[in-house]
Amino acid sequence: MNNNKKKDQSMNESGRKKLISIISLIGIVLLLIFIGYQANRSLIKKESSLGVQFPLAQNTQEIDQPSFIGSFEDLNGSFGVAISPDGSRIYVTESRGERLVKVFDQEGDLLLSFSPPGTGSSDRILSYIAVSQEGKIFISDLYAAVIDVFDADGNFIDAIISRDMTISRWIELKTGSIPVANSTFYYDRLNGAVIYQPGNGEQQVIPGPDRSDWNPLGLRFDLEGNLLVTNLVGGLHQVLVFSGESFHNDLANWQPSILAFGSQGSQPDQFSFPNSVVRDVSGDYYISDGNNGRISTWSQDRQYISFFGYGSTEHSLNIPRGLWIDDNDHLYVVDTVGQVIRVYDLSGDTPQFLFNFGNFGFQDASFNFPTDIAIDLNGRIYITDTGNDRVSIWQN
Amino acid sequence: MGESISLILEMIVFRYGRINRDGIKSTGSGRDIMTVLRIRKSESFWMKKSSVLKKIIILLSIGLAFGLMMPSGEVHADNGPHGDLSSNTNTCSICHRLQSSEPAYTGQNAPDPDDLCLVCHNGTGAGTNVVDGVYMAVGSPQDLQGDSFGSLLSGGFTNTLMATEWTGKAAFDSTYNAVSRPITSSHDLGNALNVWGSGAQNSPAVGMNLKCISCHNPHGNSGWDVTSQSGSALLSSTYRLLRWQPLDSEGFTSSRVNVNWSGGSFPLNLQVPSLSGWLIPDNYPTSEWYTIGIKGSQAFCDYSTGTTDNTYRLDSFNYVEAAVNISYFCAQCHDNYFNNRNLFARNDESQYCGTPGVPRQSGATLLPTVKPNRNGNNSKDPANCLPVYDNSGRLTGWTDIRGSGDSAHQYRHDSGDVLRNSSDGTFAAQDASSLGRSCLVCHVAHGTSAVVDSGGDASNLEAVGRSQAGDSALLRMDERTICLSCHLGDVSLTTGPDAEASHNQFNPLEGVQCARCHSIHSARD
Repeated sequence: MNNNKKKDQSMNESGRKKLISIISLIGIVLLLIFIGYQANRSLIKKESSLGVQFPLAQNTQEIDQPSFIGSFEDLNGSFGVAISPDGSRIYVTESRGERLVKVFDQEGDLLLSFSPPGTGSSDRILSYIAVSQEGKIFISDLYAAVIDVFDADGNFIDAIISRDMTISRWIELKTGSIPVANSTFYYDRLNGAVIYQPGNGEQQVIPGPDRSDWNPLGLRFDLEGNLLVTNLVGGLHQVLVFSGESFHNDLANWQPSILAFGSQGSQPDQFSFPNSVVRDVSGDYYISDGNNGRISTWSQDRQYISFFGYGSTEHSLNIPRGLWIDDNDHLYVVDTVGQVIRVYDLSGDTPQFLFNFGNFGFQDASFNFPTDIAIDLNGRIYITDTGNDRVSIWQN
Repeated sequence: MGESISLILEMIVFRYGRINRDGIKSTGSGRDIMTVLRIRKSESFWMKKSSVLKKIIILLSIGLAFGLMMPSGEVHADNGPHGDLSSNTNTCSICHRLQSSEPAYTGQNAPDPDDLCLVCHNGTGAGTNVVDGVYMAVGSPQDLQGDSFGSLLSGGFTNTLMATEWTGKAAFDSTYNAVSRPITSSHDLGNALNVWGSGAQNSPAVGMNLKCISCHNPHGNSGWDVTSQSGSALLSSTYRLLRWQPLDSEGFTSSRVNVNWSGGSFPLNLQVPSLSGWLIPDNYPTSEWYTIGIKGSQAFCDYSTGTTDNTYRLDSFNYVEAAVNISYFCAQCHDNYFNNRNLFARNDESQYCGTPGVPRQSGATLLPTVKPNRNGNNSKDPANCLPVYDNSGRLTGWTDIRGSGDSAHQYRHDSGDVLRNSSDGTFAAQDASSLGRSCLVCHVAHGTSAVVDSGGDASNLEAVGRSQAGDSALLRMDERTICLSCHLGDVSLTTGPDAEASHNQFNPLEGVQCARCHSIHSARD
């Protein structure tokens, strides 16, 4: 009996040890589960967190929002917008109809319109536009994959046809002399050639340069006069920074220094159809990473910092396109699909969401797939309201 | 997830706790599997049970841990071109304004969904610029055209980059004269359209209003069914995200069905039954396999019901040829034009012409042999050809299709064959065999810049009451020169009194001349 009792006790003791072992094992397994769960969470959230997305807090201060003051109506698929250095002229590209560049004064009167030479409405796709400190107009033509350069009155000067080549420089390289006065030249993408007609001379077809790494879209000038370009080549969606001093000289001698960063993809330091690039007062870059639905930030030495605006909350970005930074270090983002302008404060350590303005609609103060934005020195905001065929004007 | 873990933890610890507290003497009325532990058993049984249970728990837990560590699965098998639509993505918010009170893409006061598509497909957010009909290859490594800047197979809705001009030779030069011009006809987005080849005889369905999403499913089609079509088969990627059936169309299923696909397995490696018709899926709703073909290839399916890892392959089998290609998709609206050559017996009498005024089978003569004399007079003038119907109104030799009796539809371009290669808006010479007469060989899906403006006799055309003068009808080439791309040998372009061939008086370079005598599509309209 005692033996049996001892045996029972021994068995109970043995059972307890077994159970303790089992509980310990379960604890280990649960720890594994927890680790696994956390690992999976990090995989799941690879797009959205990565531990580097700027957290956006809403500024609780009272901030005056822009007021709608009017619109320019005589447009067809208004796309890009830029302002002359003195603010007296507003340049707008059209994406439909005749696809012209239209120039308005501040009152909305149409001053003139023009288009790239050698093109018709069906073989030019005018998109973003920027104006240099000297007042030259730069326009990206997606069809020809060039950046056309005009003077303030719409007279064609030249075109950037590859990363480091203008038409006039190419003509000089191939013919031995720069284009003569009153000559006509343009780039013919279908034939991959520069069409050059020197004055009254015979037209020449000059095979063009290698353009395999060139497909410009977004254009902006920074405060230093550098031209910021988004370049969309398969597998290589990049930001290109063309040195400002290169535009001071004749474009026939254009030999810019070029900085580049980024690649194509959805990783944090990659882009998917970036549209616009702007820089703040400290020199940091802000890129509207369109198809990734976020704003990507890079340091002035072109190191990736973070991104913000991505997600599924009410204030998250859908497809950001046009960007502008005003004198208050506020970043204005045109959210084309979101149908609003989202404003962020960049003055702090991290971007801070301030407010939205506008919403979808066909009436005043509404947007229908807006695209681009520009703000003059007086705080007047010009927004291309593409679907409504107008430029919507707001005042800070 | 945290709650689940806590629950598991609580359950296990609690149950073992009870075991510890109560020992094996406990006979509590447990409600779960652990109850078995509270039933007194012999020590050996308990020890054995405990050991087994321990192993089970460990294995299950480890399995659970590994399972949780695995990345989440994809929502759609193909993902389409619209990126990573995995179940845990935020990508949806790119196009959908989640948690927003803003209107969705329906209703009068809502954004136009076509505008949403064109936000990117204007070249600023996608390589396929459907506005201008060009493939810009901006940012997309998948350059299907083999070029960094080429024509879209489908043309554009505003402009197209096409070589619509007759080159003077049947063999096309892909680089010949491709220019960008405004469209002359299109599947006009947002406007009511006539649907030719549909509805009652000579009265096309009116008022179909197309949008991008009418034909394309932006979410992708494979994997989970996002078009409310029931089924669970996982399919390979689809061609251009085309739907099985355009939204708002009445749909079309070939009437010749020899195998009910919703039933048994697909007949692997089965060849086309000779002259007895072909196997057309009748109502298999989940797949869009007919659109999976890539250009210039015949795409085939080895689908088996209930198998989730179906694959498609390109090979020489032709057992689903009739429906695998794009024409079957077109037929979902233009159903009267669908006439796959494998559907019917080869003694299709509709391709014969009879003695003028005698619309019957006897005396029928093969059309190519009908040549008027130099004076243009011939007892078998093709202009007088009439379809060959039997007394019941059926086309002779067609056992299942009732002919309409419309004299304008006496010829028969098989339209259900393979989608062929195309570049610069035309099709490549190597594909100009007689085997493939897909809709897209002659037509584009979005819009064309072909010109039909040089007049000609517009009478006796494809549909009574419809003048085709000036209507480019989504054709790939100017006037009716698309006909010459295959039939140049049948036509003498030499004009003048000594010209022997009859067609000199009907210069196909002018207007609608080919269509004056010949109906282009099937004889079913």
